[in-house]
Amino acid sequence: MDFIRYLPEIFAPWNLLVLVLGTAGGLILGAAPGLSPTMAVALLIPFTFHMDPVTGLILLGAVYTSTVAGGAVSAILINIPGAPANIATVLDGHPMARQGRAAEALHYAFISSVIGGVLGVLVLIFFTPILAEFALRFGPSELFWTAILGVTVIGSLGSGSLVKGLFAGVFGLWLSTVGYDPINGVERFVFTDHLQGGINIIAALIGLFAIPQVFGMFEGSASSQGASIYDMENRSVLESLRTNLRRIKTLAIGSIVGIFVGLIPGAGAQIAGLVSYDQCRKFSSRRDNFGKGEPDGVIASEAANNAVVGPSLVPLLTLSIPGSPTAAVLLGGLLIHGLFPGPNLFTTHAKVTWTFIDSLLLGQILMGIFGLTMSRMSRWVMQVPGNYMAAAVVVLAVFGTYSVENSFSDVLVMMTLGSGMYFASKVGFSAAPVVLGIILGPIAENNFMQGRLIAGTQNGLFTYFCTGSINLFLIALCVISVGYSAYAELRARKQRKAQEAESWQHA
Amino acid sequence: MAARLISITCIAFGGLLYWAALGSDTPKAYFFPQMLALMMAALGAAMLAMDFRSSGKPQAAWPATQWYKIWPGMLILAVFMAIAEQVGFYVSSWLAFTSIGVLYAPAGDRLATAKRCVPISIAFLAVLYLVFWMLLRVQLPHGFAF
Repeated sequence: MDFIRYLPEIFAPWNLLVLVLGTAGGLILGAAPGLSPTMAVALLIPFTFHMDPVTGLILLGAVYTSTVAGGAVSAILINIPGAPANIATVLDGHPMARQGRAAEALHYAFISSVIGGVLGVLVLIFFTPILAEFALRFGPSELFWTAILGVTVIGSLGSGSLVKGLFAGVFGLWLSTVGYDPINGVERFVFTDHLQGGINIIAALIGLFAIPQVFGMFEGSASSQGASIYDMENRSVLESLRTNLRRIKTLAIGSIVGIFVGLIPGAGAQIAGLVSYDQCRKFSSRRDNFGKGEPDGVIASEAANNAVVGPSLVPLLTLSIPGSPTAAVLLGGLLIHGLFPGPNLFTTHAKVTWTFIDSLLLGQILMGIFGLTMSRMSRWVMQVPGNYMAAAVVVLAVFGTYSVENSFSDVLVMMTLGSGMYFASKVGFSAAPVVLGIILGPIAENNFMQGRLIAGTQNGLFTYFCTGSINLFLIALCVISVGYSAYAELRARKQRKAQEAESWQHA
Repeated sequence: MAARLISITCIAFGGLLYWAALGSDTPKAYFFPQMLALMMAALGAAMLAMDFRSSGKPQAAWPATQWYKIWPGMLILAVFMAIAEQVGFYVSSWLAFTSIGVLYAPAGDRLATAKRCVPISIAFLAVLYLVFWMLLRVQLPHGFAF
């Protein structure tokens, strides 16, 4: 039981302090509309670069966990989800606040977040070593297909349009080839001196996730000004806890949906929250109350979005395939500390890995305690004007990017990629596949080139890459993810057509 | 029309990258990027084909870019990038923070906003100075003005 063996590491004073500050800070950041968990983690990575890996990862994990839960505060109090993961929480959380039950809704949100989150981390603890053991059988061809699967899944499932998602993923892979070729040592696509060292992963992460949000704030889309914040009634936490625990069916549906969605690479907490909300409504005897302030709506959504956190790290820590965009950013955090996902994480770097996982477990509990006690204060965070938020993010992005390698070229690359991404997002491209392409690009290319060399001495390229049970399984998964997305897109288009025809008939 | 333009841009972009990968002394180093460039061009072609197939049918509208709101911000960022190294990170960041804070403040008295924004930006930069210089020991470019 390695996770018990390394548990005392978290209680080292510095680690515990970072965990407490990360959790409290994450809740505050999550409560601020316009600051997504992905952006918060991306902005924090440069700070962790100067810490030792254990402490750095504890900070990133704590912020990831608590920003997801913190987003419920603005969803409930001002009808603006703090993060996409909290979209379903708005549906019943805000009506509860309007009815004068804001504190009750917040209690349910944090209690169910803790329960869902703890169950999710337990899945991470027990599933990851098994999958990591399995990853030992992977050679260059399997690792190549794993990287391609990561890009394909996030490109197809994590984007609005299948073709655009795949294009973004391939573009990310191409970006990773800028700079020195790892095998021949040749400079590639260095069009300017600023690109000589290639594209720094952290610069790309910060640019792609933070700068488009800054432009969004410029446009005023993320501004909370003008929204009314509802006062909180006096309510005992114990009473909320009792009521919450009595709704065991809702908690179970939320947590199970969250765990399954988290295990699917690329799906993310937003999908988990919405699917869980929908399933709970279907199975509920109070289904007519949904959307009008039904506590089950809040419980289902929050249990699910926090249950995603742990499982989304299972494919990440074993196969380098992130389960969500925030997990993709966390992969960047692992890589800058020299930690490469796979079985080695649990052998050579067992202390770092298990302390990180244990901190996620403790972080969930701390998040619940802080959330229940700090939610009254969070309402002040939501009143921070969007103009200061945008200015602070810009300056933090510049300072953070520069500090990684003391290079102003990285800052320029960050700004260019971010500005480009803002305009690309306007026409349907998303940042997550690009980021994953940049991260997985070197894995895909190195293993492809190694595979080519091996294939040359065996039965040829096709036989080497396209035979063997693991290769075929991974190729099948790529095909399924693309096929499923194509089917879902066609179905959505047909539904839209039918709705339009219906509205024509009514007209 | 816009969708078609984007598809054509994607095809051209893929083609351009493929062309950039040709004519090297070490073609082995460009094998993987060439494959990616071809894939990008193919995906661009798929976008174009899909757009032709759905021509005449109503499409989901893309959110319009509110240029009048973002261009001042873009200008501030461009100037910030241009002067950061020469002027110094802290002073140029303070200028950028204050400009964004004042320019994007809710409508009202600009002078009062500026008076409020200046101490906030100084306090924010002071915290960053403590974190980066004292805690993380990161040496940021000081330029001529700090």
